[in-house]
Amino acid sequence: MALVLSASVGLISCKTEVKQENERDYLSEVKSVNKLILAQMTISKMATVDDIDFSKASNLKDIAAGLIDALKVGDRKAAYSYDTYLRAYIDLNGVTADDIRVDESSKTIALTLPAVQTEFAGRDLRIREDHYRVTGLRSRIDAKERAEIKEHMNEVLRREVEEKPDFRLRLENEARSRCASYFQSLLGDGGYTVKVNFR
Amino acid sequence: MKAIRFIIFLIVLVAAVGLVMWWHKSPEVSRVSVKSAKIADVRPMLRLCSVEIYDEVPVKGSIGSRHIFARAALNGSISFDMENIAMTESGDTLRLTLPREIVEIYESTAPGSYQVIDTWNDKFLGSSKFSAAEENAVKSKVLESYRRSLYRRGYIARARKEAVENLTSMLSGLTGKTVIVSDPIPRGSM
Repeated sequence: MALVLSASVGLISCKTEVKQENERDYLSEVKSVNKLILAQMTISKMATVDDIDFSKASNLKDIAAGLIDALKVGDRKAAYSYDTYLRAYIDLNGVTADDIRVDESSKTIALTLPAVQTEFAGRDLRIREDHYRVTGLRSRIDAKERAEIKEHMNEVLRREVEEKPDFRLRLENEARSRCASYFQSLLGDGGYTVKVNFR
Repeated sequence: MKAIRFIIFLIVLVAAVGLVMWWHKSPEVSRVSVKSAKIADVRPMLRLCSVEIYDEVPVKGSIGSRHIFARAALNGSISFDMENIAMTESGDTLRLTLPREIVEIYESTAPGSYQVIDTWNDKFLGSSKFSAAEENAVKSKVLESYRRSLYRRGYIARARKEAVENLTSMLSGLTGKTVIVSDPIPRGSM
């Protein structure tokens, strides 16, 4: 068993090739990877659009904007949301023969896997309009404004995920547990006890 | 008299400059308020990802006489559900069948990943504004066409080929058995 495992130095050593192609003025990149994706988190973000309430304004600019908004005819209120996906994985290219140790006497396999990493898989292309009420002489919310709102939401979300480690920790824990159970079931059928560790 | 006028002029000028500077330094007015992020769900999974794609695509569409042109940066991945891999064992041979690919396409979270460049109306004085539903309909069409292009450009075939190699290497190494991974649909299934 040990020999077999050692012989698999190339276990999961796979080529990673990056190809760049420029078509028109757009960038396109296709990358070969060897990732085991273990968990995915869906994070929802919502933003609202509303007039400035000058009674709650903290500076002169807000007071001025609030007064101008109060003079406008009609309301302009909306709420938008979308989901962003954060995923946890291990890079199987990082596994070497040294990471697998078999103890025949105690019938134990110790597997040391690369650290669980997290990354943003992406976000919804579409945006959900949860509420929309534009009345009177107020201007409609258009595609450009929605794109700016989404950009702002994305910026705040990325900062939040960066500053609050709970997002990543929760996902990493879920991923470690899924990964351990998979390798235990895969290798444990020969009567071996499988211990999975992460770097 | 001239001196007094000059002093008054100076005071007014300094006050005006001060007001302009203070106005510029105070934070921008925002009518958008962003709520805290909420975790909608955490889903454990087991997927082997063999190809990742980053692409910038034009988002072009029309509703009647209105048109939109935008640019979107997309993140795509082609992966395979390891939990749904059919596996049979006979002696020292492990036979597996590669399942259907999972093609995921998202908008990138990198700054500036979606930019509306232009919206216009062919009709004179017609509104060029798109509602969220109309814009989403245009995006859905672009997304579907992009998904088909991944098959056409051979990215799915490449991902399947590499998944077969990766899977064979991983499982034969771990189990010590001869692993045969067959792929009934090498070009994928749309």
